[in-house]
Amino acid sequence: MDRSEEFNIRLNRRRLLERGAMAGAGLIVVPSLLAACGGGSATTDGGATGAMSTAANTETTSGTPVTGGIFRAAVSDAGPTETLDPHAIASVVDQYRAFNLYDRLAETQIDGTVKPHLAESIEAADDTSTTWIVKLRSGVTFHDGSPLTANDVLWSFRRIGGDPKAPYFASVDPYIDVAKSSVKDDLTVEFVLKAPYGNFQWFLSQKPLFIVKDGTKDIADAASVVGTGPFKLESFEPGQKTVMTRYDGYFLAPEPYFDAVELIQIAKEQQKAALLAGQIDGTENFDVIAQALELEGNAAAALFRVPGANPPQFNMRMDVAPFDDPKVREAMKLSIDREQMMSLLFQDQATLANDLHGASFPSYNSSLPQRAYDPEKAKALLKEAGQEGLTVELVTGLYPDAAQAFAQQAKASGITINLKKIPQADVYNTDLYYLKVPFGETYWGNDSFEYIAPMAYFKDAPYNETRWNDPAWEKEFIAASAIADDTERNTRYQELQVPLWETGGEIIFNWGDGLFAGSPKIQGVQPRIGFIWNDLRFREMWYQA
Amino acid sequence: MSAAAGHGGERRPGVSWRGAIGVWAVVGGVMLLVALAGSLIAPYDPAALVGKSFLLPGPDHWFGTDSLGRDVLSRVLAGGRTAVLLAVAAIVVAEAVGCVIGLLAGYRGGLVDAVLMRMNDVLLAFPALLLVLVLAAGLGPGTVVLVVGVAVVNIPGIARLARAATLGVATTGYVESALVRGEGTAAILRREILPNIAPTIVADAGVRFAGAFLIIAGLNFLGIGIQPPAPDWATMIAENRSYITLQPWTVIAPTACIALFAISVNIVGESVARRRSRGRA
Amino acid sequence: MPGAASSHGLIWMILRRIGVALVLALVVSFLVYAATTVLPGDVAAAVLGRNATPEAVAALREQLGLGDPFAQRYLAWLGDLVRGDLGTSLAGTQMPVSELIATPVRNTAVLAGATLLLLVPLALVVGILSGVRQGRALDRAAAGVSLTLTAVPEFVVGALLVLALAVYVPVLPAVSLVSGDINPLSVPEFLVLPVLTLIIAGAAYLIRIVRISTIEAMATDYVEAARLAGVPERRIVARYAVRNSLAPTIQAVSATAQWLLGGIFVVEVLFAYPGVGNALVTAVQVRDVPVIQAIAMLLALAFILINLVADIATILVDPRLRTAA
Repeated sequence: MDRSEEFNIRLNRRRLLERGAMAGAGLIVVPSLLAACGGGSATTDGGATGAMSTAANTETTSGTPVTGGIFRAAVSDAGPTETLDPHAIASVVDQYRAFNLYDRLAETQIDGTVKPHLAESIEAADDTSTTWIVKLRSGVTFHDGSPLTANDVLWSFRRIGGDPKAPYFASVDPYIDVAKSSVKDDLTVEFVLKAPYGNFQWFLSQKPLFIVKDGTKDIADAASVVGTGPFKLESFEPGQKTVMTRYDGYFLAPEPYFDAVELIQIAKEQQKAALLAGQIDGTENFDVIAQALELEGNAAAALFRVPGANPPQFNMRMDVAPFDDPKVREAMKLSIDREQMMSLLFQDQATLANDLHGASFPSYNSSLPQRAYDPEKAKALLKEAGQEGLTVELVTGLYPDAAQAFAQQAKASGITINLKKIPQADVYNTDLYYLKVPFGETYWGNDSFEYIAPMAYFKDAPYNETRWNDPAWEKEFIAASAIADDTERNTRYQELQVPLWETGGEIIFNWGDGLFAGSPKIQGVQPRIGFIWNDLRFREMWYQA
Repeated sequence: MSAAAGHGGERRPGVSWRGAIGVWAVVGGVMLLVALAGSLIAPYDPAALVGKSFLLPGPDHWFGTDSLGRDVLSRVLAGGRTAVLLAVAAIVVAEAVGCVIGLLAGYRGGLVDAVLMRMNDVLLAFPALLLVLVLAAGLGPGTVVLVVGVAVVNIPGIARLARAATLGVATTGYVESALVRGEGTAAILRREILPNIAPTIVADAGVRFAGAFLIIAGLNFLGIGIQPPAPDWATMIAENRSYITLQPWTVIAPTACIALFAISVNIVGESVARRRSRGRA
Repeated sequence: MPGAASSHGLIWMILRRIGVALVLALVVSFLVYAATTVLPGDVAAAVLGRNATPEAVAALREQLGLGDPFAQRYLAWLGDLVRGDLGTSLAGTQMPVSELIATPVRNTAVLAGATLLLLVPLALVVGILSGVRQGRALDRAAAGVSLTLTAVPEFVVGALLVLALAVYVPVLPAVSLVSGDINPLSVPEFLVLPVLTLIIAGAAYLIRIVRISTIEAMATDYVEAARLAGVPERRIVARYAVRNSLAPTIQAVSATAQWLLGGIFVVEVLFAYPGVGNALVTAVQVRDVPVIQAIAMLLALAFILINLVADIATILVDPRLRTAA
């Protein structure tokens, strides 16, 4: 029985769709044929670049929150595929609704840690982290006034993970044994896991694990939307508009502050113009950062950011020449000019990345030295490896701009990078390129090391793009994952990142920010990872009086 | 109404018209030169990252820089060659195949003739761009698809023309005397017929070249043809559309190049065609 | 000529044209199917991409019937097509293709319709006037402009218009993002630039044909005779020129409509207009084979149908053609 199976990692199409949706919400440098031209027609000022100065009010929290007002947020993917079922979310707009109509047992915080949310406590019942006791807050009520109970929680998890046909079945079934899990009392659920899992609190904060009311029929029907969330569904017109009004009985009162939130379908390219025309109060992420920066100093708009939402990534396969030589891999990593990339790809709205994932999370090893552009050292390494004047082919479909820039930068190391441009849709085609090409690219988003590792660094992991193959390392990782203590577990994770940084095949060079804009009256928006608008927590925002 | 209308013909072009053609011929020549040899006088390597992104035109960069900080002028100077050469390649392939088919059809008639006409009918039932797009769906994007697709679109027309021209020549004295001398089909086609129909074919090829260039530009614009980092006028327009408000010159420069090139080739081609038809009449 | 025989011949001719059109449609369907399914690599794997577990690939192969021989697959596909079943999209939400392309088809029809409605009368008026006043200022201006514009591809015309009307004098939106089920007619400002682009790029050809037909008609013996008989020029134009240039004009209008089917892709992509052209280009990018097949067939059938209608109309209006049969 191989390890990845033992660890029970199975991903399904849904999770990738989710990731795609994340990519859509956070800015990703995927120029598509359809990335339409222009950015609305209102602003024609040609002024372009410039370092981010004071204008982007990434921190607007000031003063005491005030209740009132309607927040009109633009969404761009409302359409015939929308659903109100929080356990079947697919479009970004579905997530806008689910995040505000429903709650999860735990929620991520701005620093990447996780705190209980509907739960009061989430604790391991044994040393092996296979049984977990979740105690619910008391006094939480659904929109119809009925109290939240342990039955609702178990029913929700069985709805997601009990039926193989359910869309997010695979995000629960491999981990939780929903049949053996049980209700202990009105406010206590015992979760029985299929394998030890130390960070179960984080697990419970995942996107589709919303708590719905026990026995709700026709959950996707607007009439039966009953959640515990800060907003109630008022009206729903697929493809056009959703209106949600404040739920006065929300358990985190005085939140929410807005009287209502409206989600209005407006194509991305029109959102900037719509904001400046006062038709909406908030945009989605800008596809072209320079166009967001044009709003700097504009009194009619405030600029917000999701830090490090976009890590473009190149991958070298460690099992084939010339990348089977660690010196060649190191030379490649030294041949990318991370500073110039930041300027060209992100207009400096980014931070340097250090070839490791998860920089926004507590498990990240920030003590490792930052790799810099060093063509001379790269040349020397290539000479040692007997690979002077190396020529490689980079297959690019996601980041043709970054690839073109890399090809230019690597010339200084005597490396010729020939580009093979493929359609974006073929990047993950396993028959043609994905996991096949020696030198390719991928997108993971801003996720933690421990989330990515079992999918990317296990020998038989489904997305082992670099062919990291170290059975002892895997064993260590599994052992670390069973640790329930956060600090201890994270320390072990950080140690595991050292060899990955030293000899791994991933080139991760920038954490590009996602930029979005809104009315200058908006308060309470913080520069945090995840989705825009505080990971879609409209409840934390208010209008300046 | 003027009697000069004659046999549905057109009024003789005046002096100004001829002057205009001269101007366009010069423009066409310059554009062709730019397309083929422009990269030689480019101030920068068209792929080099020479500055910040979206710099507006200035003394260092006459047309500014694009999203990757590359010199727009250098990219424009280098951006015509591939498309022009691909159009030439497509037409050469189409002419070679089309002439052989047309010669055989005109000389032998029968089955070849019938198949050829039906093929032509089928192709006429398809917009050229759609045809190449469907081919690209099957073969994947790239320059091979461009050449094959554009050649396929042109072959039936060329074959028809070659066939008609061959029919005209086949009954002339040369061919009959060659037949009397006992020469084989291949020899007759090559020595007697081909030289006689060559002028017609060559004149037609010029017009077809202009058409091929436009289809290739269209496909490049759609992202089906030339792939980055190769600089190409149409690809530049497509790539830089999103930045048109930030740095309009990234779109203006290649747009002007395609427009000037296409207009001049068309006007010159038209006037050559007119002169030929007047010469024949 | 005996009337019965003539109308017999007429019906026979029309039936023959219809027959040819049907055979053409059949051949085109074969070509579309062949071109889109002869992929390098496996369609199933290409479509599933990163999620291509062996089971998923096997399931999709089954769904697509890739295990069967080509002829069998083609016939099955053709059968579905004839019954109006366009299959299921392979991308994203896996909707039925007919549902997926319904709105784009409507949007393209609106765009094409609006363009033709403005373009044809405009070209007829300018063409006939140019033809009648051959060599005068209007004719020369029209000739110069049309000679210039036939050469310029649609996306270049469009890009110039965007620069002029959306960037430098920002009066119109640079993109026509008509979202969801909204009828583009309800947001006419989104239609202006695409329609203008198509008219500018397409009018030249039609004007030239109408002009030449008019010149030819004005040079016929009838016109000469009518002139000698003292019929006023205005009536000559109305009676002879217009009528005699009708047949070539019908052909030219049909050719313009067909050109529109080809040119509309580029314009839709340029303005991000949500029509079939845009849908097709997207489908080509993501290899959504059923969508590619459906749209390609739809456009080819429209193409053939336009030809057919134009041919029949020409047969009906042109007495010479009638007897030629």
